[in-house]
Amino acid sequence: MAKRLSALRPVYVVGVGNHRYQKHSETPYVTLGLTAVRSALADAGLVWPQVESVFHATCLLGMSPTRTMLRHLGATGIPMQQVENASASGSTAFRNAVLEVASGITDVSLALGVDKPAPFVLGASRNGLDTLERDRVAAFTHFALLAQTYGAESGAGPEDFARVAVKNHANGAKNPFAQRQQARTLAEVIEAPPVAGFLTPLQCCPVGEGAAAVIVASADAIRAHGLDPRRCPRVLSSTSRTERVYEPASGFDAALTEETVNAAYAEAGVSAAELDVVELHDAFSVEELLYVERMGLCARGDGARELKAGAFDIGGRVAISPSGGLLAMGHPLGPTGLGQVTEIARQLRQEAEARQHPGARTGLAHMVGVGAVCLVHILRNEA
Amino acid sequence: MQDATPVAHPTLYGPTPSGGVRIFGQRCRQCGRVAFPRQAYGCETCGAFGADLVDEDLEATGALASFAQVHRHPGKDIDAPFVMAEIRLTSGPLLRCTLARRDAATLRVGALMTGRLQADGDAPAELRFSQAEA
Repeated sequence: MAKRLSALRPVYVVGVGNHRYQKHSETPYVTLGLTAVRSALADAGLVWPQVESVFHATCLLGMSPTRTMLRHLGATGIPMQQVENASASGSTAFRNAVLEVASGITDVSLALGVDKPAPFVLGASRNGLDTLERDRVAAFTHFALLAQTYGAESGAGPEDFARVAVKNHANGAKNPFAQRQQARTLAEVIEAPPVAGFLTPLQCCPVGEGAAAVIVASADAIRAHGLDPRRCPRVLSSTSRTERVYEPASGFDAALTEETVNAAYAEAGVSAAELDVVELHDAFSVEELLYVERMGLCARGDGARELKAGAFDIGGRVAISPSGGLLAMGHPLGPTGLGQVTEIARQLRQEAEARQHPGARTGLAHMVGVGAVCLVHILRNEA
Repeated sequence: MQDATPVAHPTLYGPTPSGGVRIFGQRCRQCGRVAFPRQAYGCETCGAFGADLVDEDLEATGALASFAQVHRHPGKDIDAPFVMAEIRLTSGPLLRCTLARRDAATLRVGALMTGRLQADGDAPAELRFSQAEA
């Protein structure tokens, strides 16, 4: 019979590391990846030969880039594979690593996201079917359409969407790994020429390059390697779903999020009210308002009012995207979902320094990806 | 198609003899879902395929579900600004399509919309929607 994660052996995040997200540069992807892995090993107090498998999230590096990067840590012969699942690639690599440890196949696994911008083709563009919109619905236009719908339903206006960007840029300004580390005023966000609908450039995430690494391990490994269990939050749930046929068809991102998050709450035995920190897919500002409501973090239609009142600030009722989120930390594709986990782990260890949400104990990471897919993980520091 | 009017998406819609436009949809005989675009791969709701998917021409009328004025567009097939919209066809499917007008100022969600063929200069005619006449 199928089992929930809670029926398998416990899995813990034992080490996290990052290479700052940044604009496309001459830095080789190897440098980005090795920086994040060495940082995660040092953070965990592990050495490379203790890692037993690797899942490498990348969308744009091309075929089979992993071993030729990681051989420079010493070629130990462990299994490695690439994971591609659009924007949720990093979240999917994390899930694979978690499930491998939970199943008992390995005791220590690495989920690594490394990516650099490059030209790409969406598989669906080769599905043999024409579309009315062809390339006229860029990602920002898709979310501008959702913003219009949300605004018509909730009464939210341009300033309400812009406040998401103001909060997340303020958070990103405190994050040394963020691509955008500059606080922005409401006027700076809102007065720039829009790209589509309500959305202005600072309400759209930067897609650059970078890396994030997360090492997961069993309780046996924590004991055997002498790690500090107080720095090892447990992964309570890992859920992954894909889009169904929703009615009305508009806004599938929110409907898919709702059902995936609800599956995660059920698996973890956690309610929305227990969450202290949430990293969500705010590639565009409107998404935060859509998702906080569908996650049950506030009532439907109250997202903009709660945001304005500070409920989602660091130190508020639940800190949303204390890393800066995709809007400020950035969205280099493969690393993004893992960068969320590095932030949540630091928050749950009380090691997030200037952006620490006081008393953070339980966190949720959420990504959606074109296609559409959705992954959600819930972590808790049980120490 | 007997009509020689060149259209931008000949697998998606075509002119009617009376000068209107028909949208090439399909109906699933198993679950009843009316879908667009027409395809032979299988029904997204129930998985039925082959003879269970029957062609059905859809009327180009529906309600405006959402819209966004696009200010930046890197593609060469149309110059910004233009308006992309979601139209809920009376027959059920939700289309994402271009509006005939280039400015979203007075649009409102829920407005009744109708589609017609519209050409920019020498370009093939495309299906574009406008607010229906009162």
